[in-house]
Amino acid sequence: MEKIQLKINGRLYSVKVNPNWTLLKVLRQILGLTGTKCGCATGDCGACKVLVNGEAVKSCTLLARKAQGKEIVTIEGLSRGGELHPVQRAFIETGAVQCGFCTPGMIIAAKALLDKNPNPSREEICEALQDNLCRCTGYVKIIEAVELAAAWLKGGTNGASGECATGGQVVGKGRPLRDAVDKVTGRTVYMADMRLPGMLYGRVLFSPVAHARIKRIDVSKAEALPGVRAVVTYKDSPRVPYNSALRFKGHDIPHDEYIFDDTVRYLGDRVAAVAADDPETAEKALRLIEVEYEELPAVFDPEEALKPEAPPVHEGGNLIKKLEAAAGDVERALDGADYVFTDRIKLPIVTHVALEPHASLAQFDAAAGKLTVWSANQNIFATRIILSEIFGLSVNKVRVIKPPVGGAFGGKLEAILEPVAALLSLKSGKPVLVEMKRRDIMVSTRTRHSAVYYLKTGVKKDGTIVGQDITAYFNTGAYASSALNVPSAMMDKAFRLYRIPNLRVTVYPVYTNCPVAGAMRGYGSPQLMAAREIHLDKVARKLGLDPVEFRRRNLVRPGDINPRFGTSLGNCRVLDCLEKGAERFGWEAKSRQPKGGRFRRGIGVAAGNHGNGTFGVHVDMTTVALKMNEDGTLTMFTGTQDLGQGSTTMMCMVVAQVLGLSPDQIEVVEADTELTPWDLGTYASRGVWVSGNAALKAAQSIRRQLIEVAASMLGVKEEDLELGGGFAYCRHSPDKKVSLQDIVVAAQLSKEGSREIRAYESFASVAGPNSYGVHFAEVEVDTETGEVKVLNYVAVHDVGRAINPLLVEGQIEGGIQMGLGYGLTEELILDKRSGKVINATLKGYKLFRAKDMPRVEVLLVEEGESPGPFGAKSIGEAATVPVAPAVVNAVADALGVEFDELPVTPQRILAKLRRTP
Amino acid sequence: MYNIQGYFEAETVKEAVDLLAANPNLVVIAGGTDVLIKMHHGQIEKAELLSIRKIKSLEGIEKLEDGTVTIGPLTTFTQVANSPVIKENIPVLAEAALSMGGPQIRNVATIGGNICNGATSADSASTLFALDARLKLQSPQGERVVPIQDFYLGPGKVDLKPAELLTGILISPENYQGYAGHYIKFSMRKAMDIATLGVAVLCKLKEGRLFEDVRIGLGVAAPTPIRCPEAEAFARGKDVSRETIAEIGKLAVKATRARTSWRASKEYREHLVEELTQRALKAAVLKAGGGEVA
Repeated sequence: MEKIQLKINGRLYSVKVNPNWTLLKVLRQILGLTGTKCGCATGDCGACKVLVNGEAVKSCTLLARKAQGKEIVTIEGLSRGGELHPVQRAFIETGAVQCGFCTPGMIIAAKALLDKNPNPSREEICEALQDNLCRCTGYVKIIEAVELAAAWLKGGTNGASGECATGGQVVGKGRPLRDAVDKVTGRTVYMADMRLPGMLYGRVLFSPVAHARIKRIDVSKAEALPGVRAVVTYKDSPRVPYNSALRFKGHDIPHDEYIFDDTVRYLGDRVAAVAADDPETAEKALRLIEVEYEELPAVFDPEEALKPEAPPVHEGGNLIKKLEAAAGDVERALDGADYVFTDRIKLPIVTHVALEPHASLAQFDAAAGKLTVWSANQNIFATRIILSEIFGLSVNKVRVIKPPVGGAFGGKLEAILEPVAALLSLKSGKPVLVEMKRRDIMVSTRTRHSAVYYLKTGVKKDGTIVGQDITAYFNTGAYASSALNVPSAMMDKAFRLYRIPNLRVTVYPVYTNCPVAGAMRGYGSPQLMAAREIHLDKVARKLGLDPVEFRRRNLVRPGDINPRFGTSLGNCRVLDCLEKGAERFGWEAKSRQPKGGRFRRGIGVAAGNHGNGTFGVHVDMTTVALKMNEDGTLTMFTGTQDLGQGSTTMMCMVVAQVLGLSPDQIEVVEADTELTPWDLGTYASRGVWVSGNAALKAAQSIRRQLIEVAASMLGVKEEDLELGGGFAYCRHSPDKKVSLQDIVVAAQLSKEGSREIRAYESFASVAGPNSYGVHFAEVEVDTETGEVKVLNYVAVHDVGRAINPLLVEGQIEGGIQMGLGYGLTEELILDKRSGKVINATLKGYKLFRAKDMPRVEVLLVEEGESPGPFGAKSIGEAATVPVAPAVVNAVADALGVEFDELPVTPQRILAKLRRTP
Repeated sequence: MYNIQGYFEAETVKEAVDLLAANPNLVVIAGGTDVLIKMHHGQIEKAELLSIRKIKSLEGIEKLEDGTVTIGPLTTFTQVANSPVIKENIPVLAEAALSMGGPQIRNVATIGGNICNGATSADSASTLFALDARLKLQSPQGERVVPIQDFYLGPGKVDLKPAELLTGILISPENYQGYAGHYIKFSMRKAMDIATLGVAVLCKLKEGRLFEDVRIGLGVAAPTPIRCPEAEAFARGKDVSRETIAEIGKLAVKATRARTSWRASKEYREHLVEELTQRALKAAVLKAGGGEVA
């Protein structure tokens, strides 16, 4: 250890450091300046940027000792005396903040740029942000924020604007996230920022082989290392099988996973874990665990895994359960078709890459027999059930709390680290924070199911689809997880986009020794749409039909009947999306552009749909509690897990609209199994549809009570009263009014019947329509190298009604970034022999960066969907569904070739080009 | 965070090589951009670090009396890219330096570190190969100078003897005077990416219409950076024409030993070598005062 001095945010700190400590470690762990985030520790994500002598520097690749004598500014130092810096304010105002995890690094990079270049072009902004990753925003609003901040700084203003007064229209007006100020100042305490007294650091050992029995495991050396407090292996693991994707008590899905097992089933499977006084000791101890593996044969391809000679990943074979959904008579329809077209399309394993690494903190209080777990988690109530079953605790002795989450996208839906943290805490008797490295997150959490699709479509000469037969092999990896749920959700979507009276979808979910597939944004829909929309473009081309026209002829219309169930598809406005988008995109004019030369342009379109909750599949319920306070403000209690997408902001807006308040007057207690009412979980795009409706229902109850008390106070009839501006007032004589605070106090102190104005309302979904989108992409392909540049992008979405258009746009823009990766660049690549993921770093796994993004335009179709709150329906997942096929179809159009495997990398493009004259 | 036993800091070359001789486990750290990441990934265990950052004599770029350009190994990529000596005499090296990493990495990462890592993807290497750069190496036993081609032994392996330190990169005037060059880095993404292929081409023209000399350095086309002797030999004395350049592109492929890796297949890399060599050469011809070759 040596003593160094660091000047940070104008203050001189004297700290004892090891010479090898990075500045990031010193900032976060020694000085507690946790506004600076760590998303990778390998210089790839930019979340840890700080200013060093005015330069934006990634503090994870800078030794602390080298920062001596330099002026260091962290995100905490940007807002002086509580006054936000204009860059911070611009990030809030433009909606550039979602999960907030990349935000400090982004703001630092933007500040460094604007200090040197007050007039940056869009290209210069992208250049400055080129090593800052974001998974939520598609960079669109971040770039806008930097432009806005530049304008403010030039104009000498700080962008401060007066907040609008209470009342007025709230729903339909764009509004930043309710916790955006915390996020731009670095005050938000994410999981890895939490500290408890006596807390230990947990690390997990992952299997280096794809399939093996553990012959011998010796932890004595690890246990003997000073500072190590607990080591756990399969010998300590309760022999209680579970499924990490459980959603509710009694959910009937395969239970095939243990915290630790004596068999490892993929390269990256959990083997053991250590809790120690500090992270370094925990990591060192992992290396001291001796494991002898007896290797077993492994299989990585889902079709191979179904062959009789394939090694079984679990007892009972690799087919989990054949799933089938059908309508009409597919064979007859295909026999009678004018043409039948077939395709085989292969889709890769991709992964979420939420910027915040997975982490869980568990504290087992032995005296009270109570387990408390804080976790970046999308499904606290289900995680509570899983933990109570594994450890044999009654449900009220398990408490799960979700702190702010730095992005999830389905990757934090399943209980992965929580049971490990709990076991370590149980054994050590101390609170244990378990964190994962980026590489392990990419391999050992969850991925999107890779799949192979076989498609057969029968059409008439005029392009009418008469029948379709789809068979898919879904690679679920080493554990079942969502192996049944994802394909089932996917199959359901197939019946809701095109008018196909005779349609069959068959899915084989298959175990392999691959990383485990689970929930990921879109939950099966991206796979279906990628395969089917690429296939249908080929069909259209073979028929000589324009892809837009082909879709125009076949897309569903509002009120159409789902041929599988005979129920209405609701107000499905996908055709509106198609027409609106084709016009804005300039489809007709662009489709007449000549093609030739080295750089070829092409255009593509794709449609897609995704659900609103789980209605019709299983329970879909949530409860919202509201309490009026004595000053007319409100406290909301919700089990809904906001992941940075803004669901609680949306719920506040709904409540504020009903009660004539400003959303700022509502405080939210969120996602704590002990303090908030039950929720099914933040998944299935159910936030607006179910939680929004529950908030509406609770607000309406509060409204009734306020009006009831006010009516007696004012001596008027209840039906004559309105709420607005913090008052209950008479519709005909607005001067006759009483403030909400007076109503609340009067109700409390009433001699006749003292009462609290409060509501506790459950909302169970009553319908399950879909949200729709149609996307248009224009690309330019370099025929010499196969490079693709996405030039223009138009996305149109049927959202029923946008409660918060700013956040709806943000969801769509972020969905586009994720989908472009699915189409063009992203893939977890497995070594075919060992099953090792060979590109499990943010260098090797290619996310779209700011520089790679096209110009994006988002349009909304707002025709209302009953019974959504104010006619609103979901957007979170639907946003990413049509992207990959739209951009792949554009590349195919540019080159006149056909693709049958994603991602469409330069290499695959050139391979196609050389085969085509 | 990192499992490091010790940390040493040398202020002179002598101090550094003596420390290296006394302690063979020492890992030399300059900018640290690669070493810290390798440690995070556990690729370097029990490392003891020797920082050479304070050795002033290893920094900077100079043009000697005889025209030799010397680059200190501690020179950062930003310094290489902005150096008036480099921009004036060997602009192609400035281009290559600018293609490396992001601005922050370039501010910290050093050219010596890039070379000593032995990565075939090193952004400086293919250009230094084309320039016939020589490397000055110092050990307690003395100094030796080796051609850069001999220094790269295999993937991640370089000819650094025990207790030896890279102290200088030398480029002689006959290797850059009269030459114009062009560097193309091809990667899958526009920003912050590792090269899928790096192509550095130098050419010297006679009367603006004949190739007096052509040099082609390739990164990621083989386990180490390489030159393309057959293509270069073919080029000498030939007309500057589309046909000649096409043939050079084809012959360049012969030198490669591209492997199929997850980043790219052998076929794709070979295709890129052929295309990008031509493209780089055409650009170099233009800079050398030749005409545009369509």
